[in-house]
Amino acid sequence: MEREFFLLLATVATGSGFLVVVAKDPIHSALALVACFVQIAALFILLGAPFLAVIQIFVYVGAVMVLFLFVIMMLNVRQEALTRFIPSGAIAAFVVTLVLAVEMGLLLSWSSDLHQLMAPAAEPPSVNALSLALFQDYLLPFEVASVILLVALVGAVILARDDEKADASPRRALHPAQGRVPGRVATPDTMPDILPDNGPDTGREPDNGPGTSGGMRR
Amino acid sequence: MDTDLIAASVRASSPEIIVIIGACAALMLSLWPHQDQQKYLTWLSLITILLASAQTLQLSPRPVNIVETTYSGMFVVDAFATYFKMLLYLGTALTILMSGKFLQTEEAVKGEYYVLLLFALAGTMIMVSGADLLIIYIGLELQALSIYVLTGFLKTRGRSVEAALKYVILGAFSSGILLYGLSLIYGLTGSTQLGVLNSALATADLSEPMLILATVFLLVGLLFKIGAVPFHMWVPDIYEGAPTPITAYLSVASKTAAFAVLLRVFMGSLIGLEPLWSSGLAAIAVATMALGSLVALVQDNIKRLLAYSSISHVGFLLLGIIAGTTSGMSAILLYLLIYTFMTLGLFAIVILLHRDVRAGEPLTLFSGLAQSHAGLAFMAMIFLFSLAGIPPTGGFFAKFYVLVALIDAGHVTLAVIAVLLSAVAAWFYLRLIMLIYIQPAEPTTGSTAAPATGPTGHARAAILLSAPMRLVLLFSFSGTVLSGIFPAWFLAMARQASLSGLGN
Amino acid sequence: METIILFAPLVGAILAGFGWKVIGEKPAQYLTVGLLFLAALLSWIVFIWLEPETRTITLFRWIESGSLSIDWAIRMDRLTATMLVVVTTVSSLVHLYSIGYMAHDENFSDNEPYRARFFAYLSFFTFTMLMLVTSDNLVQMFFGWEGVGVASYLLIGFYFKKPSANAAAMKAFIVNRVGDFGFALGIFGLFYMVDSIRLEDVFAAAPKLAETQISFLWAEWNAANLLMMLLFIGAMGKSAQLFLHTWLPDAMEGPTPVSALIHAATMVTAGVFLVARMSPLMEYAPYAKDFIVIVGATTALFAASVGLVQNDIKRVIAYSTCSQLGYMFVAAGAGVYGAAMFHLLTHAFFKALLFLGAGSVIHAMHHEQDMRNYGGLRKKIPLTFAAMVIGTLAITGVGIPFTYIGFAGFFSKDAIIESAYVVSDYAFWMLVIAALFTSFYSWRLIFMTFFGEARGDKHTHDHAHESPMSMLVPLGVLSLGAIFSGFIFYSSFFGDVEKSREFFGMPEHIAAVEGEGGETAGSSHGGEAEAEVADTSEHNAEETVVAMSEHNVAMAGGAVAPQGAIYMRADNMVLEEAHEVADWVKLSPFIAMLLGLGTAYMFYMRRPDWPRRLAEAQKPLYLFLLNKWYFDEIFDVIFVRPAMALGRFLWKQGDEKTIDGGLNGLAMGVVPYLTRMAGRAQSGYLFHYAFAMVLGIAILITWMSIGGGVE
Repeated sequence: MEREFFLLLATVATGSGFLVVVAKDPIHSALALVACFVQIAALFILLGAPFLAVIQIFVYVGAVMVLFLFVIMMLNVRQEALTRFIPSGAIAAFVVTLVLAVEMGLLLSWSSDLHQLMAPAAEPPSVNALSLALFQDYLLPFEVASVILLVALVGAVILARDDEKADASPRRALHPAQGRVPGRVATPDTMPDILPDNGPDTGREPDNGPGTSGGMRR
Repeated sequence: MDTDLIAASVRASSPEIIVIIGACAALMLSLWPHQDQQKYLTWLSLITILLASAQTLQLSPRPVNIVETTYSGMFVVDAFATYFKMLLYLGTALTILMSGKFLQTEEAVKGEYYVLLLFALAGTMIMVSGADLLIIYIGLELQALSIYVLTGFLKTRGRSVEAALKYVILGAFSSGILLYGLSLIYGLTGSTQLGVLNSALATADLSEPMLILATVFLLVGLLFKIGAVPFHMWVPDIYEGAPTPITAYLSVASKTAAFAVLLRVFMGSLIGLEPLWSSGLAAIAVATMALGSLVALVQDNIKRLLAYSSISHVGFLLLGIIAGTTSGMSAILLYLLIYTFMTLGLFAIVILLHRDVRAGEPLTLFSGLAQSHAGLAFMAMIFLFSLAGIPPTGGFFAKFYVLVALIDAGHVTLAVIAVLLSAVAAWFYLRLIMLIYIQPAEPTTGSTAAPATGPTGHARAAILLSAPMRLVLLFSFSGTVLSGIFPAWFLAMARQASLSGLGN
Repeated sequence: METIILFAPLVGAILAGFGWKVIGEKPAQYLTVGLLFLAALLSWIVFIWLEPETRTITLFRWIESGSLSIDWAIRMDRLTATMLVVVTTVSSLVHLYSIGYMAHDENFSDNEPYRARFFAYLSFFTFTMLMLVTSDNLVQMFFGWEGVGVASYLLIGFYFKKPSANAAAMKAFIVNRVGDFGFALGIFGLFYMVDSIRLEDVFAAAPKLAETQISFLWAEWNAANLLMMLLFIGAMGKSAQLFLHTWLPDAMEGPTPVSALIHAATMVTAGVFLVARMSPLMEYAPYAKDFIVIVGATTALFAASVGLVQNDIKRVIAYSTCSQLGYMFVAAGAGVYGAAMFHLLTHAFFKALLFLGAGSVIHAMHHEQDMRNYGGLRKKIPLTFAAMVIGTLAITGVGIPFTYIGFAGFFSKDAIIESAYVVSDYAFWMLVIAALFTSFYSWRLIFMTFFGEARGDKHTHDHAHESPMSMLVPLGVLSLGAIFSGFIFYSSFFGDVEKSREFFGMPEHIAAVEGEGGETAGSSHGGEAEAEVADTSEHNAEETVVAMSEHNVAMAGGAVAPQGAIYMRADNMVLEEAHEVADWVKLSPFIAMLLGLGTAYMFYMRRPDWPRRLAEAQKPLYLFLLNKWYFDEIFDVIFVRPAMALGRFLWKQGDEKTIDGGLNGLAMGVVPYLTRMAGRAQSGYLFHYAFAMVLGIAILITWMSIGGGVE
C-alpha cells in the first residue's frame, strides 16, 4: 500500500516538476511548482515526518510561492516569457538527459543497497527529538543558516535599493557600441531594456535571452 | 551538550564569530553617512581580519598533529584548516585593499561591499573547517550567496548584472547536484560526518553502483566551484562581468576554499574510493589544462584571459590530487599560496590600469606600460613569469612540486602532458609581456574606447599608486619572489598542514 | 669566497636596479663594475688554487618534497672554476666597456635613465649564469638556465622602442622554450629513473641507466641515450645549434656589449657546459654522442658558410659564434670534454674581443653596421684595428704547426679537429672545411672594414673616431687573452694526458665503477690511489648487488659517482689517440686557414670585382647562403604559414580576429580549431552552460561505470 502511494506521489511530483520547466506561462509554472511542493509534503507524511510536511506547506506553498506569484503578476513578465523559449539544441539536450536518466536508473536498479534505503523509519521522530537534533547536533549549521538569511537580506536590499546616481549611467553604459570591446560580437543588448532599474532580483529569466551573450564566438 | 562543550565549541569557532561580528559592525557603520566612510570601513574590515587571524594562530594546534573537533563533530580545528584560513585572510585582505580605488572609479562606494566580503570570508572559513558534509555545504552557500551579490554589485552595468544572474542560476544548479550527491552518501553510509564516512567507505564494496552516482555528483558539485572542465563555462563570463576585485577574490579565495573541501573530502574521506574517481579526475585535469591554455591564446580581454589562465591552473592543481600522496597534497597547498600571491598581484595591476567599465578591459590596456611605468611593468612581468612558471619566480616551484609528486606517484605520462601544456600556457603570458614591453601605448584602445585619455601619444595618464595599492603590490610581489627563492620554507608550512589534513 | 663570487653580481643588480634613484646613475654603474671585478679577481684565485677534489658548498636547504630534498649548493670543481673565470672575466670587461659604449644612445632621449637599468640587467644576467655553472643539481641548473633566458630576453629587447629588437627578443625566448622543453623532460626523466636530481646521484646511476630500457612516445629507448638526447635538445636551444639556431643572428639587435657577453662568451656556451658537466652520463650514451657530433659538425659548416656572405658586421660574428659552438659540441660528443672546455675558454676571449671590437667600430661609425659602408678604417681607429686583427688571428688559428707557438684558436681548434678525426671522418672534413670558411669570412671582415677605400656616407667616415679608454682597456685585456690563453692552458686542457687528468681531478686511468660487476679495466699505473679506488669500487659493487636484489628501482643505491670534474670511461681513448694522428691531419687546419686567408686576400684586396662576379656566376648558391640556407623561410612555410592560413580561413568562416600574428607559433595549426570549438560552446547562453554540465556528468558516470569499479 505504502509503495503504491509512494509511486503515485513521486510520479505526480516529477510530472509537475517537468511542467514547471516546459510551461510557457510563468503563472502555470508557479502553480505547477505548488503542486510539486504539495506532493513532497505528502511524501514527508508517508515517511513518518508530519511536522516537516506541515512546515513544507507553510513555508513553501504558503509563503514563498505566493511571493513568486505576486512578483510575476506585478512585473508582468508574461509577455516576455512567452517569446523567449529557444528550441535550438533541444534535441541534443533531450538525448543527453535521456542517457543520463537511463544510466542513473540502471545504476540505481543494480544497487543492492537500494532496498535498505527505502525502508521506512523505525518510528516517526517527534517534534521534540527534531528540535533537540537541531539545537544540539546541528547547532552550527543552524546558526550559519541564520547568517545566510542575513546575507540574503542585505543582498536583496542592495539590489533593490534605488541608487541616487543610478539614472545617469545605465543607458549609456549599456549601449552596445560603447559597452563592447572591439572585435566582439556586437549583438544588440536587449536584456537591460526589459529590466527595471531596480535590478535583476525580480527578473528571473532574462538571462537566456538571445542578446545577452556575454561569451565570445571564436 | 553541556556548557563546557558549548564553550569549547564557541572558542574553536571564535575566528568565524569575530568575522561575522565584524561584518555586522561594518553593516552598522555603512549606515552612517560620512565623508571618510570608505576609509573607516576598510580599516574596520582589515582589523577584523587581523583579529581573526590572530585568534586563528592562537588556536592553531600545538603540536600540529592534534585535531580538535567540536560542535558534535561538525567543526574541526587542525593545521590544515589553519593554513587555509591564513590563506583566505591573505586573499580577502588583499582584495579589500585593492577594492578602494576600483569602487571610487566606478562610483559604487557602498558599505555593503565590505560587509558581503566579510560574510564571504566567514563562509569560506566554515568550508575549510567543516568536518561534516552538511556544514561544508552551508558554508559554501554562505560564501556563494555573498559572492552572487558582489558579482552584480555594479548594478548599473549590464555585464555585471548579467554575470550575477548567470552565476546565481548555475550556482544553484551545481548546489543541487552537490546536495544530491550528499544525500546519496548519507543514504549509503548513514552519516555525513567525514570521519565516519572515511571508516565506512574504507571497507565499502567498490562495485556498488550507488557509490558511483554519489561520488560523481559530489565531485561535480565541487568541480563546478573550482571551475574544472566541463563545469567551467561560467568562469569566463562571470570573471569578465564581475567587478575586478571580486574577480580577483573569486579566482583566489573562493577557489582556495573549494580546493580545501575537495582535498578534505576526496583525499580524506573518499580516499577509499580512489579507484573509482582517480582516472576520471585525471581526464578532467588534462582537459582542464588543455582547454584553459589553448583558449586563453585567443582572448583579447584581460579578465577573460585571466579566467582561462585560472582554469588551466586548476587543471594543474587537480594533478596534485591525482598523485594522491602527502607530497601531492602539500604541493597543492603550496601552489595555492603562490597562486594567491601572483594572481592578486596581477589583478591589482589590472585594477590600476582600469579606467572605466565602459571601455572594457582589452589586452591593449597593457600596451606600452613599460614606457610609462617601468616599475609597474616590471612587477607585471614578474607576475606573468610566475604564472607561466618560469624559474626565478614562485610559480615555477608551484608547478615543479606538483610534477615531482606526480612522478613520485608514477604518473609519468600525465607529468609529460602537464609540462607540454604549461609550455603552451606560457605563450599567452608572454604575449602580455610582449604587449607591455614592445607595443607602443595606443592612443585609444580600438575604435570604440572612451576617448577620455587625453591627447594622443601620451595615452596613459599617470597612475596614482595609493597606499593600499602599494601594500597589495608589495605583498604579492615579495610573496611571488620569495617563494621562488626560499620554496623550502613555504613548503614546510604546506607539508605540516597537509599531514594533518590527511590524518582525519 | 665562492659565495661572494656568486652573489656579488646579484647585489650589484639589486642596488643598480632598484637603488639608482638613491645613489645616482653614475655611482650605480661604477658599483656594478667594481663588484664584477671583485668577482673576477676571486674567480681567478679560486681557479688557480683549486683543489683536485670536488667540493660542495651548501648555502641553504632549498627544496624538500617527498623523496626529493635538495640544497642550494655550489659544486666546485675544475669545470665550475673554468666557467667562473670565463664568465666573471668577460662580464667584468663588458661592464667596463659598457660605461663607454652606453654613455650615449640614440635609442633613448637624453633625460631617460636607461644606463642603470642596463647595468642591472647585465649584472643580473651574470648572476644567473653563475648560478647555472655552480649548480650541483639539475633543478638549480634549470633555474639558472631559465634565468639567463629571461635576462637575455630583457637585454635583447633592451631597445624596446625598436620593433625589430622586440621581435628578436620574442623569437629568442620562444625558440629557447622549445629547447627548454626537452631539457625539462630530461630532468624529469632522470628524476623518474634515478629518484634524485643531484648530479652526484645521477652520475652514480649512469651505468645502470645505460642498461635500462624505457618506453617513450612510440618506442623503447635506452635510458641513458634518451635522457642525454633530451638534455642535449635543451643545449641545442641555448647554444643555437642547427634547427634551433635561428634566434642567435636576430639576437644581434641587442646592444653590442650584450652580444659580446651573452651571445658569444657565456650564455650560448651553457649548452657545451651542460654536455661536459653530464660527461659521466654521456660516456654511457653512445648514440647521443654520435648525434651530438653530427649536429655539431653540421652546424659548424652551415654557420660558417652563411657567414661567408653576410654584410652586417655583427651578423658575421654571430654566425661565426654559431659555427664555433658547433666545434665545441663535436669535441664534447667525441668524448674529449677537455678540448671542448678549452675551446670554450679561448673562444670566450677572442669572440668577446671580436664583438667588442666590432662594437668599437660601430661606435666609431655612428651605429652603421653594414660592412659595405666601411673601408679604410685602420688609420682612423688604429687601436681597434689592432685588437680586431688579434681576434681574427686567434679565431682563424694562426700558429706554427708542430710547435707551441700560436694564438689561442690555434691550440683549441686544432685539438678539436684532431679529436674529430679519431671519431668520425664526416665531422673531420666538415670541420676542416668550416675552418677554411672561418678564415675566409674573418679576413673578409677585416679587409672590408679596415682596408680599401672608404665607402658609404662620407660624413660618417670623416667623423670616425677612436673609442674612449673605458672601451679600449677591455679590448687590450681580451687581446692578451686571445694571444696567450691557448699557449698557457693547452697542456692542462688537452695537450698532456697526465696533466689534464690531474687538472680535472680525474683518477688515474682506471675504471671507477663499471656496472654492478665492478670489473676494473684499464691500464696499470700503480700507486696507493689506485688501490683505494679499486677497493671502494668493489665495496660499492657489493652494496649495489644487495640493493638491486632488494628492489630493482633504486638505481642510485650504493653506486658512487666517478671522481673529478669530467669523466671518461676506460675505453674512451680518443684523447690519447688524438695526439697520435697523422701529420697531415695536424696540418690540415693550418692549410685550410692559409687557403681562406689567400682567397679573402685575392677577393677583397687584389681583385675587388671578383666577389660580385662570383656571386653572379653562382647566383643560386649565393642566394642560398645569403638567405641562411632559407631556414627562416622553411620554418615559415612549414609552421607559420599553415597556421596563419588556417587562422585566416577560420576567421573568414567565423567572425573573430585571427590569431595574433606575433604568436607565429609552431603548433598553432590545431590550436585555432580547438579554441574555436571551445569558444563556440562559450556562447553566453545559460542553457548551453548547463547542458555542458549535464553532458559532463553523463560522461563521468559512463566513464566510471565502465572504467571504474563496476566490472
